[in-house]
Amino acid sequence: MTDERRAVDPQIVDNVLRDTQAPDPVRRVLVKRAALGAAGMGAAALLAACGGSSKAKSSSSGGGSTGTTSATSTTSSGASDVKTLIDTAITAEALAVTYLSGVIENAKGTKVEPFAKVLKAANAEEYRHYQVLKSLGATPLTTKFWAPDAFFGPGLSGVFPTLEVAETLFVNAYLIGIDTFVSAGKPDYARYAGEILGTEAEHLALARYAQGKLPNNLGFMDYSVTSIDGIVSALEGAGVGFGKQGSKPGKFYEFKAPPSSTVTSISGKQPS
Amino acid sequence: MEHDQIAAFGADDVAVIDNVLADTSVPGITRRGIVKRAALGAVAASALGPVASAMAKSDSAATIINTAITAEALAVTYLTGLIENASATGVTKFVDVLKAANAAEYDHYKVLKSLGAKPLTTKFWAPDDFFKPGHVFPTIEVAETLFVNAYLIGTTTFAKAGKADLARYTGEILGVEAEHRALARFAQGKLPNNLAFESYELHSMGAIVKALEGAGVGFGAKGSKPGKFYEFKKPPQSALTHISNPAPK
Repeated sequence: MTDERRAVDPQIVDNVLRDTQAPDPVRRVLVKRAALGAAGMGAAALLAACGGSSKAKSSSSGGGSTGTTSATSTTSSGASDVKTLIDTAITAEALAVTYLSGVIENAKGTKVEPFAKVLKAANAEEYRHYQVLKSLGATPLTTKFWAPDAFFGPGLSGVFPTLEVAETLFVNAYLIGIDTFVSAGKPDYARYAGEILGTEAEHLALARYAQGKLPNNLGFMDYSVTSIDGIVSALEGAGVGFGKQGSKPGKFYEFKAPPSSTVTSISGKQPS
Repeated sequence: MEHDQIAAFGADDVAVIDNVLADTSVPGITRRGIVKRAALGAVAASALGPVASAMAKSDSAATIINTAITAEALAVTYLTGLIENASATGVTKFVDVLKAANAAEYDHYKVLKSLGAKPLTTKFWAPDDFFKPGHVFPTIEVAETLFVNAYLIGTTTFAKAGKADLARYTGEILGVEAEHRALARFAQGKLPNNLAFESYELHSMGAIVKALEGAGVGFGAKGSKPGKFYEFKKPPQSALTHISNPAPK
């Protein structure tokens, strides 16, 4: 069990003490102790990053306790969590490209055809996410996916309901990413997660629109699942198999770079 | 603002300070004094909301949320005006989407307020062009692009301050703004989802405000293009529709 005490910025302790009657020698001792406490938290994070506490996944609460999340997570989150997160994310992007490419290649004459250009853009975007995540060191956990037949359905009628569920989970996953990257001290990665999740949210809205639903039905994006394992479980619950047969009738599909006929020109190809 | 520079403490911080002091040879009476001062700081912080605590580690946190709530007030003011004049502004076909967007922006306003944000102004100058048929959705596209960018600045700021929940809230909001952006593009007949990564071209809230001013918006002052003043108010029910997730998780 790790020390439950939070690390307080030594500068804050110093500021408080300067406002009090505490004598200088006492103040210096207290600030030094606070600094040592902060260093201890950093060491715990490093230990976790080296595998000393790898079982703690992104565990920040969803309860809105804004004051405690980062410090608590600092002791249980680190490079191992970042690696788990980006490896899962790139696997989800590979799954998305595999699925969208299959849908686009079979769109002609179906109710999906009017949305082919939107789907091609979505496919191009997911593939860019894949490439950028790869450049950041992510490795897909598998490139072989089991997709239920119901994801396609007669005349591809299952596509937009499937995309709505999948994109909701992808947005949720990148929100977990923000938590994880903040806890690991990677603000740029946290922003990249934001830059990606915005585009996944766009896909979500468009998948809803294609079903005749109100496309923008949310005040805040969904964060119902608070661990990346929870995202994988949700996808498996829907019938997806990661490198193995899934829980519903379907087929295996292998990820590959999408053919040019299944993508279209897009902008914003790199995070900033 | 000078009071914004005060480091605010949460209840946990007070407990930690008490623990640290208890481990030292500070006399009891001195310790109680220090803890009391810290606790008073915590009370002030709770009045300002959790975001004020973030300011201890990021001077720009207050700027982020105050600018954000101002932008949300601007959005509600504008969208309400469009919806109430749907035929004249040429948005009849998309009025349900606009009502949902208005409800979302007002949810953002309320949540930011609950976090301690204060609008910099509630009086806005909007150019007349913003309301002309054919100009509405281009205006929304530009505005939503800037709003997404603004929340990405927020993500970065809160992430640097180690405030994971606040950083995630910005993500929960910016996804919604990105949806609005895509739908504004769709309404213009453009490819709605044209980006692989949302735009983060501007890196400060000042630049966001400047970009809005450049488009003709005035914040409590006359803007640079012919227009009128509009005052933010709670949107009437007729300008809203039911949406889900009215608060972050």
